[in-house]
Amino acid sequence: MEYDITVENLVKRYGSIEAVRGISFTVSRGEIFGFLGPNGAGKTTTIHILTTLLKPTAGKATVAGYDVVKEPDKVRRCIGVVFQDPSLDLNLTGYENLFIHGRLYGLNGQRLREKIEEALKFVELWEFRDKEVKSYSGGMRRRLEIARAMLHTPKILFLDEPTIGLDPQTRAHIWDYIRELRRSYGTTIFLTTHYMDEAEILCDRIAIIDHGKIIAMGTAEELKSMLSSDIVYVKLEHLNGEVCSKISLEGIKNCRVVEGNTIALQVRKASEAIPAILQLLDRLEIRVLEVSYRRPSLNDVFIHLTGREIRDSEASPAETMRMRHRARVR
Amino acid sequence: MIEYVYIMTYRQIKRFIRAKSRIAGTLINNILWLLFFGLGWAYTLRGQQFQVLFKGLDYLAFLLPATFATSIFQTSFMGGISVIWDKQFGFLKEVLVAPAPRSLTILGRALGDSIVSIVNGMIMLAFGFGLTSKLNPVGLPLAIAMGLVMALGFTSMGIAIASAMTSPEGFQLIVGTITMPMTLLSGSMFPINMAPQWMQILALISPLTYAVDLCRYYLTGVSLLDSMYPWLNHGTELLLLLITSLALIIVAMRMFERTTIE
Ligand SMILES: Nc1ncnc2c1ncn2[C@@H]1O[C@H](COP(=O)(O)OP(=O)(O)OP(=O)(O)O)[C@@H](O)[C@H]1O
Ligand SMILES: [Mg+2]
Repeated sequence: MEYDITVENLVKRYGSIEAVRGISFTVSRGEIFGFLGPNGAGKTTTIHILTTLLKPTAGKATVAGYDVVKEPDKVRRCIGVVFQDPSLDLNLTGYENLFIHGRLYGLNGQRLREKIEEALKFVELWEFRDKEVKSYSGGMRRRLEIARAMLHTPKILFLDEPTIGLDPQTRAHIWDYIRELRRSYGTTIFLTTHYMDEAEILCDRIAIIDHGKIIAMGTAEELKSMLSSDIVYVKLEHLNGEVCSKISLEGIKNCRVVEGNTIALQVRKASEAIPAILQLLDRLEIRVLEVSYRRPSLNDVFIHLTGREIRDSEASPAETMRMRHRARVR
Repeated sequence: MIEYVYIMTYRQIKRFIRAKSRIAGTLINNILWLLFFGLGWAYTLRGQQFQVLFKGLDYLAFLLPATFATSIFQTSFMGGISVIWDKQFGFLKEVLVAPAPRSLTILGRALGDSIVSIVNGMIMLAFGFGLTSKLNPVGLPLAIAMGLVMALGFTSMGIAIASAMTSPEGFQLIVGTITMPMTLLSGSMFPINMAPQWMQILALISPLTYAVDLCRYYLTGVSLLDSMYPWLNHGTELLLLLITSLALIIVAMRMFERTTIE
């Protein structure tokens, strides 16, 4: 097995803040590997170290077989990066942005022109190539950044929250591009996200990171089987605040109120637990409107491991605002 | 190698051309300065007796070549602020993560900004040629070449300072406090050889003083510094300017190589 990324006991301190606290993992050639974690978990810091922009405080990391501290030039030749924050030149056109990028990576002439065309067509921006990036929407900018990062056909692509603040359709689109990149070029992909669905849909393997530490790692299935349980949702006519404390059945590991009048119960096996739950609620004279259940999500895994939620999986309005604001400030 | 220099030069110039309002703003500023300051004083000092002060030149012929140099100085130095914008708006990361050597990309950047400020200076000078017939066009190529040398030096100075800073406000503060005294002391607006001794010494520390005197020498044949010190002729001035510019470019490369995103 060949590893494109290896990380051993990586530590990064900013003054007294320890942003990354001794993480270790490996990513194989051609794998899509994801860092899933909440705000401030240390995802961006890790990407910055792996892409040679920050020096680690301790530990060792190699990318494409080269040490990120000792051989940054060689690492830079092998990687493409989409940063969390926008990094396009807004006063230039989409084409010019890619042109400058290509030249910075030593491409030129006919070959560069072909590459630009290929990349822009790949993200469906070819017809907008001569428009200034200022006039692009948030989703178009993100796609342009992906086109730029793949322009020089890097071996390894780093994507820091590739779909943050985008609408669901654009997000699905970007997921397609990412999968297609791996299929067509065999690109190894390291991405970070705080969206459960993104990690689950895209990644071969996921590392859950919180407070600078990896708290679990594996395929989405492996992570979910850590819980060995199902989640039952019961929608009630009236939500009584103490309902959870009243439901004390054997086999119910966790009860919490989710949106509306719905409670979520973590049970070992939904098909066996549901009759018992309904009987209990009936005895308590609580009227039930709906019952459904599902396999646990990564969110449940995160809650199980940390006792907190990561965040809603859809882009929240506040976050979209943040992106817009950022775009305007420029 | 050269392609990395070229591409950043290309970028800086492209960006400049796109910033229509900035170009218009600079032009208007220049015209207002020439009209209200230049013509105002030229009219006040129009008698023969005043020309003694300027070694036989009238005030416009004295002022205009110097303005070429000071305007290049101001725009070049201010150009460093784009490094800070790039830091804030992310483009800097794109450059830092690229395999292109940082010292070359920063050189390209300095060159691009220098060309922009020289074009700016030349527009100013074109007005100058319209306002007075006393300027000698034969000296123009030399003046422009010298302009490039000083522009490279001062853009590098701006870049070096910007590399160490994070906020545009901080940069503007520093640039503001340096630009003003250097421009005033450069001998562009009054004959520095008539100023008090201590002021002359301060003036001679600043490379802009040499640039101003050289420009005036190339375009009118008059140098004021050699009447302060005979050894300070145009050859020495050019040498001093070359050395300072080269030193500033090297400092900028070093500073930029060390710049981080932390
Ligand atoms: N330049 C810095 N100086 C000081 N502290 C920093 C700096 N950059 C990051 N931190 C801190 O390090 C921690 C990890 O930050 P990081 O940006 O890596 O998190 P993240 O997982 O990318 O979060 P997000 O989802 O918000 O992007 C945070 O507590 C943050 O406040
Ligand atoms: Mg981040």
